[in-house]
Amino acid sequence: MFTLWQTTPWQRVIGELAAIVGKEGLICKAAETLVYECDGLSMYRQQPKLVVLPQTTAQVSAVLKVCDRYRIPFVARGSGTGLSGGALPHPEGILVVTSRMNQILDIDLANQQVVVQPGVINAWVTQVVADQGFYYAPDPSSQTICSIGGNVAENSGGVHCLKYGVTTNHVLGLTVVLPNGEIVELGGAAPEMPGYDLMGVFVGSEGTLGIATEIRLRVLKQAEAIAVLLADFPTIEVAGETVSAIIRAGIIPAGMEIMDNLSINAVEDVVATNCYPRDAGAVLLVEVDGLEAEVPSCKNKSCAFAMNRAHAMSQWPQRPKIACAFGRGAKPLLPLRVVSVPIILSKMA
Amino acid sequence: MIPRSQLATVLKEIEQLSQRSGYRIANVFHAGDGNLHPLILYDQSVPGALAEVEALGGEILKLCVRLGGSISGEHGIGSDKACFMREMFSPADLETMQQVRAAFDPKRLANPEKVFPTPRTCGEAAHQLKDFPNIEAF
Repeated sequence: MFTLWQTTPWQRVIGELAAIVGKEGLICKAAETLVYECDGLSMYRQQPKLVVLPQTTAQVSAVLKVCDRYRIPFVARGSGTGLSGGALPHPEGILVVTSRMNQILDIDLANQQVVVQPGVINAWVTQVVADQGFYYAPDPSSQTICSIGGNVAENSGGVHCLKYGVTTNHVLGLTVVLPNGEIVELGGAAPEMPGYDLMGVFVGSEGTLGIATEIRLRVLKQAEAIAVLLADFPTIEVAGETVSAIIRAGIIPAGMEIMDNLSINAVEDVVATNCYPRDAGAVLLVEVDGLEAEVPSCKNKSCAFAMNRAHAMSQWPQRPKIACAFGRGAKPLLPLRVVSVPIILSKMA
Repeated sequence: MIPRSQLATVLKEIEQLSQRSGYRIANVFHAGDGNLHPLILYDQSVPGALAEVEALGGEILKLCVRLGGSISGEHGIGSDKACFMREMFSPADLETMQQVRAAFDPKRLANPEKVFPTPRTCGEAAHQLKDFPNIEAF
């Protein structure tokens, strides 16, 4: 098959692709395809032969039919924020970039659904429904730049997936272009479709089964009340025990995040929030959300667990200091998304 | 990804790996579901550092699998972790997944050489192709 790729008649392929997506949707010059040589995992780099930027399902289908006819490998790419090199181009292949497929196609709040193209940015989904009190739950720390198509490919998680689940729990239906160019519908507007869960197979398949070109998402009603606790501990183990204690008590926080001492100092060095104690072995952030009637009780119980753990350790008499923010219908307060950390650390190194 | 109950053990062993290798490792994680993000700090300009760091990352992945976890939480396998799929899955598991893949993509054009170990991407996989007698290598 390698020999087949080497004999690809690229001039003819370029002509056919240009007829599908237009000149502005096709990048051929090596100096320009260089931009796409890696995703968020920048230690692996590979330039593709061509970059194609389609705008519609029909264009994606036509592009993949060309790939199928000439046996050209293709890699799909959204915003290129992935950290496992899933969008690393193939040296003899075409990179199909979805960033021009950035339309929100339908908003159906009566049924809590939004239909988007794959290049739509994760945070946009929440933005378009926030006024009506809804949001899209999966929140990778790159949510302001990562695409929904990429989220579907990687089955992305995020801070709040502890309570609300990962991407696959929030996708209801997909229009998918198969590698031969055929367009199929997986799942749909009706939840819990009978038959095999092929949509479940597709979500998280990392671009190996085709390209999703329309994605029907579930959006949720915003929580009535949100409380965020910040507790610091002498050791990361005690922070971990507190996490277990909270969950054992039947509380499911929206998110629970731990940072160790090295990470705390990295964040404070660069972002200087002055909210994380530099001498702590670990900090634990707990966000509880839900009805106004339940959040204060969950918050108080979580607080008590953290205090108990710390009091058992005599060398840590003043700890944990627990800061608590309690908002009604407020934005979640997790003050720093973990994405800050890798970026900062790479600057340190 | 690790079982929440193994958090303390995993963190202790990561610390030991860090000391043994001389690379600092920062830990940030979604604690509620045992989703670790160990960050190995290294200087890319030092020759050989990347290979050492990749080996160290591999040790952490194997540790997670040994304690009942998995090699990825929410960032996928991609190019980065394909070579470690064998730590988690038997040849029969991987062959089954290849059959699913082939049902969607019989010509193997969609994101080839990702997710699953291949001879080109994982040297050690080259002599293990006999594990997939029914599947065409690509």
